[in-house]
Amino acid sequence: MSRYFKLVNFELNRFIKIYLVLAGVIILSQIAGVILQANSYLRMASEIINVEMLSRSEFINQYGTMSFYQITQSIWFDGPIALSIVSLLIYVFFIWYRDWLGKNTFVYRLLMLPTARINIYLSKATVIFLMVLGLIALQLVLLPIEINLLKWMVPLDFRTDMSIYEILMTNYMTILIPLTITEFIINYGTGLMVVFIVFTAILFERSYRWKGILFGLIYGAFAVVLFFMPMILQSTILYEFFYPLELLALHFVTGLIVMGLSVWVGNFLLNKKIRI
Amino acid sequence: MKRYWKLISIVLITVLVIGTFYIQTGIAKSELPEFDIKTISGNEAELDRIALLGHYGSGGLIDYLEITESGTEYASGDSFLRQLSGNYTSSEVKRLQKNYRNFMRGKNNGMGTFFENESIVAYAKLGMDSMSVSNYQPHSIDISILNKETKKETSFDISIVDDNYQSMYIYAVYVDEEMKILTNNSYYDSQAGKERTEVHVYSIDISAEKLVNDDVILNTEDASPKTIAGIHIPGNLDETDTTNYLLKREIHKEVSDERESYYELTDAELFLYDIGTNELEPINLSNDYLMNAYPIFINDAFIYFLQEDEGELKIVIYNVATKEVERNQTFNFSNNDPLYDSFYKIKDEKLYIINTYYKFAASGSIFIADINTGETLFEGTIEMDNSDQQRMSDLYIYDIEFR
Repeated sequence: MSRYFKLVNFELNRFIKIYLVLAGVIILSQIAGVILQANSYLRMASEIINVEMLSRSEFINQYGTMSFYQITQSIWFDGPIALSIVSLLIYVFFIWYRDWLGKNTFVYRLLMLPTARINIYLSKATVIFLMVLGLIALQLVLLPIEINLLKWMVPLDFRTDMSIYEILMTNYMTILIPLTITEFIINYGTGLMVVFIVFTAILFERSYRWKGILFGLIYGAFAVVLFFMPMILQSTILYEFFYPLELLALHFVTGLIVMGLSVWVGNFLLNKKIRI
Repeated sequence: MKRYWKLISIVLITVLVIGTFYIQTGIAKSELPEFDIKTISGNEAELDRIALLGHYGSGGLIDYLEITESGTEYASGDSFLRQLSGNYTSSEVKRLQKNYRNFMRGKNNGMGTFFENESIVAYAKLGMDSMSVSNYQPHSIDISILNKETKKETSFDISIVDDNYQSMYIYAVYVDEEMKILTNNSYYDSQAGKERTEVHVYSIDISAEKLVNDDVILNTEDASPKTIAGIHIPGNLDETDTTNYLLKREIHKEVSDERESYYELTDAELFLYDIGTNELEPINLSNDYLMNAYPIFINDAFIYFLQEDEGELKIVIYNVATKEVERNQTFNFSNNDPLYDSFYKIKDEKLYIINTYYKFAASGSIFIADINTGETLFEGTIEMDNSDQQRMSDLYIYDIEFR
C-alpha cells in the first residue's frame, strides 16, 4: 500500500509543473475574461447612453443586461477548459510513453521496483483521475469569485445575476459538473473506466508493438461493447424491455466488469508480456 | 509524511470543494421560486387531491414543476434517480407500471395507448417498419392484453389492409365485449392533390384475435367544400371514468369570396357516436348551442358543454338518454376572469378552471365549483411565495392531476 502511495506521489510530482501551469492559465484567462467583457459592456453602455442620448432603461431594453452567460460563451472562459481537457487526454498516453522515451529507459527501473507491477498501473490512473477532479474543484472555487467580480464591476441595474446552479445549467458544463451527485458519480465512474480501457490498450501496444496496436483496438472495442451490452440488448432483441433504473444498474455491473477486466489484463501484460 | 504534502493537499482540497458543492446544490435548488395556492374564498380541503402540472422558465431554461397545497416541487429538485424513472410519465402510466411491472415492460415510450377496467389492462400500438427512419408507414396494430386475474398476457397483431395510409395515430382504446381502437388515418389523395383524413373505429374480437369490423366515422373526402368535420374525443377516455361516447362535429360555412379566404359559419351539426354499438346519431340542440358551445366532458349519462355568453360562463348539460338539455348551469365567481384561455376539467361533478399562462409578475387563478348547484367551492390565486424575489420567467400550467 505504501508503495502505491509512493508511486502516486512520484507520478504527481512528475506532472505538477505542467499541472500548475494549466491551473494558472485557467485562473488568469477566466478572470481576465470577466474583467475584459465587463469593461467592454460598460464602455459600450456609456458610449451609447451618452452619444445616442438613451436613458438607462432604454439602453437595457434595447441592448439587454450583462450576465454571466455572456462570459461563459467567450473563448476566455471556454478556452482554458478545452486546453485542460486536451492536455489531460494527451497525458493519458504520455504518462506511459514518457517512461519508454529518452536514452536510459526509465521504465526499466520502474518495473524492477520491489512491488506488484499493477501498482504502477493503478498509480498512473489515480493521478489522472485526481488531476481531473482537481481542475473541477478549481473551477468550482473560481466560479463564485468570478460571479462576485462581475457584481463588483457592473452596477446592479445593468446586470442579471445568475447563481452557479443556473450557470452550470445553461451550457455543456453540466457534463463536467453535473447538478446531482449521482450524475457526478456516473460521469466520473465512466471516465475512470475509459482511462482503464485506454491504459490496457496502451499496454497491449507496449507488449506487442505494431501487432499490439491492433490488439489494443480490438480490446477497446470489446470493452466498449461489453459496457454497452444492456443498451444494445434494450434496442435489439429485448426491445424496450428494461426500466430506466434497471438499465442503470446493469450498466453499473458491466462497468465494474470492464474495469476489473482491464486491470486484470493490464496486470497480466505488465507481468508477463511487457517489452522494454 | 512531509514528502506527501502536495498529494495530501490536492486530495483534501478536491474532496472538500466538490463535497461542499454537492451539499450546497441541494440548498441552491430552493432558490427556484415557490408557488403557492392562496385562498380567496371557499374550502381549502378542495385542494387536497389535486396537483397542478406546469413548467416555469423562459428560453432554454425550463423547469417542470408540480404545485400542490403543500407547495412546489421541481423536477430538477428531484434526485437524478427519480428523474430517470420518469418524471414525464403520466401518473396513470406510473400506477400501471407499479401494479403490472412485467406487462408494462417496453410500453412506456409514449408510442401506445392504454385501457384499463376491472378485469384487464389493454395496450395498443402501431406496428411500423422499425429501423427505417424515413418510413413511418404503419402496417399493423400491435395489441397486448393482460388478464388481471390469471395474470396471462396475450399479444397479437391486426394487420391494416389498406396500406395507403401515410400516417396514423391511435386516439384511444376501449374494451367492452369487443375491443375498439379509434384511429386517425391520413393519406395523400393524388387525384385531388390533397391530404385526406379518416377516423376509424376498428372492432376486434379478442378471443379470435381478429378484426371484425372497420367503421369509418369520418372521412374528409366525403365532405363538401362547404363543410368541415371534426371529431371530439373526450379527454377522460383513458382515465378512470370512461365513457362509451364520442362526438362528431360538422360545421357548414358560407364562402364569401372566391379564394375561400373568408367564410362565415352558417350552422353546425353534432353527432353522438356510441363506441359500444358503433351507432352514430345526431344530437338535437339549437343552433346557438351547436355553434358556440364547446364540449368539455362526457360520461355515460351527460355531455357537458362550456358556453361563454357575454362574459358569463355557462355549463350546458345535455342528457344522452332523454336527448334534451337537462339544464344550464351558471357560476358566479367574485373575480370575473377565469374565462377564455383557461383550462377546464370536470371531475366527480366538480368543475375546475385554471388559468394556464402567467407572464412575469401576474398571478394565476384557480376556481372550483359544484357542477350541479353552481356553488363556488374554492377560489384562489397561484402566487409566488417569496415575493421579495424578482420573478424573471413565465409560469405555464398544462394539466391538473387528481390523486
